[in-house]
Amino acid sequence: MGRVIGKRLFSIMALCAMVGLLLLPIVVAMPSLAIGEEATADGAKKEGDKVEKGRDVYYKTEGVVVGAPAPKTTDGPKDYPRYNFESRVLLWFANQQHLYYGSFVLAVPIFCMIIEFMGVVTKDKALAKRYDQLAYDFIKISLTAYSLTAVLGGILIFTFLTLYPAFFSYLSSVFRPVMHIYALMFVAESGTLYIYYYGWDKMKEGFLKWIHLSMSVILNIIGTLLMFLANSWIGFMMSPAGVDEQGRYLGNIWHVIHTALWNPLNLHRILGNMAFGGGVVAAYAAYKFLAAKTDEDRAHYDWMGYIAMALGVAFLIPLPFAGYWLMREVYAYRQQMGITLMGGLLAWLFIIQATMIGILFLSTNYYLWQAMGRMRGAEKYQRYIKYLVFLLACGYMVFITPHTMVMTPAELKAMGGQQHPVLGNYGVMSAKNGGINVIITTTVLSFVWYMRGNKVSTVSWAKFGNIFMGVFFACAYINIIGLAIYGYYIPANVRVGLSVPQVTTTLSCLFFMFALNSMMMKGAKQMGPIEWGKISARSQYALIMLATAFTWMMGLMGYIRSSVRLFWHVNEIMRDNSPWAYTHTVGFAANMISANVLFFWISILFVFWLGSLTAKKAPVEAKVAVPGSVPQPAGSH
Amino acid sequence: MAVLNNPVVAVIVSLIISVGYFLTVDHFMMDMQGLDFWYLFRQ
Amino acid sequence: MKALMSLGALVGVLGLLLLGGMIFDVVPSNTVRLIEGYMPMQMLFEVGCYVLGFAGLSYMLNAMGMALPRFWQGIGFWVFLMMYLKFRVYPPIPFSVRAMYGTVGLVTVFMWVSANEEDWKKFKQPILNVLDAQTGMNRLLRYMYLVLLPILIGGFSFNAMMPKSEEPIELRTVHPAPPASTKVHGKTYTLQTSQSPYRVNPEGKYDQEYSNANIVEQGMGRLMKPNANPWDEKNQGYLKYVREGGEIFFQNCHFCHGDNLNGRGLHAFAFNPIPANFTDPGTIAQLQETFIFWRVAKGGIGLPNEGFPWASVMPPWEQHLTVDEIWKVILFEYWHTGYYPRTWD
Repeated sequence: MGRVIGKRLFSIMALCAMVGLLLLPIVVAMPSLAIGEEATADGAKKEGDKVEKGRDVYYKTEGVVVGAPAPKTTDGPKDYPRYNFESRVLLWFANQQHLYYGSFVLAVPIFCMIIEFMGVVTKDKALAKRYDQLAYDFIKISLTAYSLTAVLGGILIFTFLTLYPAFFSYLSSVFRPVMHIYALMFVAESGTLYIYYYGWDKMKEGFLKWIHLSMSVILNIIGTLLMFLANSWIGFMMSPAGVDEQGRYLGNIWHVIHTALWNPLNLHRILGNMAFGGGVVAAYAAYKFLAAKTDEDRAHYDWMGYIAMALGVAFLIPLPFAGYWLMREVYAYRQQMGITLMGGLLAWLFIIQATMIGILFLSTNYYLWQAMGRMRGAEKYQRYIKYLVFLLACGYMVFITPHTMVMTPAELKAMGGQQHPVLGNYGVMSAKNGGINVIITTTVLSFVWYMRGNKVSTVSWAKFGNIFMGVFFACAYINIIGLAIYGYYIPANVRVGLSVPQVTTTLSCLFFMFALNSMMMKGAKQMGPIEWGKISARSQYALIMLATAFTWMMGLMGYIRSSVRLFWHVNEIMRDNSPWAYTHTVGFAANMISANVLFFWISILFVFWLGSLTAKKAPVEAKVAVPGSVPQPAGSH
Repeated sequence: MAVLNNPVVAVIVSLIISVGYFLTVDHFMMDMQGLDFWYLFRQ
Repeated sequence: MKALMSLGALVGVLGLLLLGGMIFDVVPSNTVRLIEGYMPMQMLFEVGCYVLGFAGLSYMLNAMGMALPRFWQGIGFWVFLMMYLKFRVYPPIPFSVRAMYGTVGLVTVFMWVSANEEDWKKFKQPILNVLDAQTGMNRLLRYMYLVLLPILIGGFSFNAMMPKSEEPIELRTVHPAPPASTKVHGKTYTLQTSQSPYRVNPEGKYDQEYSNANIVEQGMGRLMKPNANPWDEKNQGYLKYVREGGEIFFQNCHFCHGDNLNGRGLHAFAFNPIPANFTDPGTIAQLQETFIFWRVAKGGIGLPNEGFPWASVMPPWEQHLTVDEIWKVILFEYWHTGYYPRTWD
């Protein structure tokens, strides 16, 4: 007994020491952040008698000028060296692939954290083991993808250095400490990830299991911080702060990081990563399901697909609202940028985005209805599905209606004007918020039906509970649509706030109805088991559709984010004087995005294949050698 | 408690709770942003 | 339940008859009027009624033993939706939008008929029957498709590639991003912060709440307040400025923008695109007053690069009107349409 406790204590101490060592670089780097600026400021003081002050373009505070002004680039081999190819497209490609993989490897640990936790707290021992194994399988996929992320990060940074040297030297001079911390944090991330993965079996039980779980939390914290740091670069490019009008750094690194769009981007990307990661894993499970030879395999992958989809969609649901907040912040920061995005040059991209969002939610609903098909007892909901289809269809059609329609001059004449008197009303935000909220509430409803599909409630207040649920949902729909109509009759500055009660209505349905449902389903009578593996093939295609739509959407929104800067490298600070300082046509952009999506999916199939190579063996061997196995400091923006 | 299971009573009670809840949410969510939900009715 | 089904069936039959009449031009599209002010919700309501009608009809037929196969239900519903969009909604919806709606309709009909295995099998059955071609009729149909499909596809391709004499479609940027500031008559106005000097309350301070309370009721043409008549000689301040703006409007603007401010002026159809319709919720209703000020002052010529293809004949009114006159005419436009100018606070 004494030896066991001694061993345990030793292992805990060793673990803490390791984690401490891993986090040491960050801790050490912190003071240098503070010292760094003063050192250079002192240097500047020594050179000249006058200390030059500048005013922060965003925060409007005064600061001592520390850095050089943003370079005024000229078109030529000095500032924009190039191959016989548009540099911007090359950079776009490198950046997009890195973002796809980065998003994936940030999402998967969150999945593992949640699923491993579910495995620890589930009372059903067999199910707990399955959750644990599932989490382990997920992290296995993530490892190869992690190396690829680092490789792509290296490619990205080299592309920046070779094709945009002036821009990159300016950005790295402003973000010097951040880039160092970013690189050092990769040490922590890799170390934690490898211990987490390789130590899985050793830390299977008892107290060590809780340590393992904590490691997953630490892994996610580090990963999220990494993303926040990378987001600060994009935030700076879109809405610079911490520099004066000429782009000279004013010494306050927090101002440079905490730009106007930093937090909206942070939130949007956390949710987006999860949704995307869920989609990719679900597509993986879908593919394995369709290729499975045994019933057991089919059951396993059906279950895996469901869990991945459920988690992904859970994070998808708040995503439109995070996006809306991001848009509001863009408008608040620079009205011009907001109008360029949604009212002007890039407006059609948002109609495409609306179409993709609709596809996402429709696929989710379709999958859930198919999933209900494999539960005995869910037949009672089948006849109402057509009404859900109707709600989704109406919401979707309202959501994608453009305000300015593509029409021939003959149609314009017949319509009597640029706007259609009926459909034009669907083309404004008030209607669209209503449309998307109806779609999301219907998705929540499908989910609730799925959760109670094969059960009959046996609580004493079952009838009241059911009626309450129906009335609550009906009132939610009426509230959402009512608010949408209300918006037409009030001023714009009040109307803009209506989205918040609409969101809250949808989220109330989500939280309260789920809670109520689980209360009602306590001790419920099961009409039949969930027949995992007996789901239709169409549902798996719906999952693949979901994943592809997520990937395409990410590419589209990334393109929009980059294009909104128009002819600036750093908005209003550093001008883009390259020969490619124009906005691509919508068609070209769409083709580029599709090419990126295709490439990503082909390469991730390769990653999955690599993962399957080690499937049969015990999990303690080295992973297949991938070039650059030491994680390189990856620059990304 | 059993009276709640009566369909008519259940519908009425549910309506009261739901409508009250959503109106409260509308009011406070707008108020939180410094906006007036009842704008149109003030005219 | 039976009563509900019968009612639904009745609605369904009536709807079908009406729509059939509209398709064959027996009844005009506006037989059932799209009511001004309620049109978008009315359209959704009608589609909802038709869905219920359809469901009722199907149940009724089912109960009578004459069930319509799922295959024909799905196709029939989609065709019906397309016909509704093409013939009932007036003015006619552009093809691009009908194509989008049609695709969504097709996807959602597919989702409906394949929602569970049983329905999906029933849906597939007629298709499989034709493909298997076990009976004479099915064999004939299969050969017919074999011959017809290439001809149809060839015909579509030919039509798509044939050069047309119509004007090409333009994707116009309707709301280009405004510049940070604009110079009118020698004075620079920062668009994000400037305010109309005439949107004032009786104390003379800029006051949106006050002016919003004295406008015309949206879409109804009625005065919101009985004593808020700009043409009453006694009224001063905001209402007087509205009157002056109205005089300027009817001397300069109504020829194109119409006396109801709906873009249907005398000269409206001589231009392409036609003048802006201020009663549409997508024009002045969602723009800031300074944006309008910029547009009115600078005209089509003053559109930025983003305003491609600059196909606007809006005159640069700074050459004819003073700054005060421009502010007043904008004040009048908002008063007349009952819209509130967009603000941030």
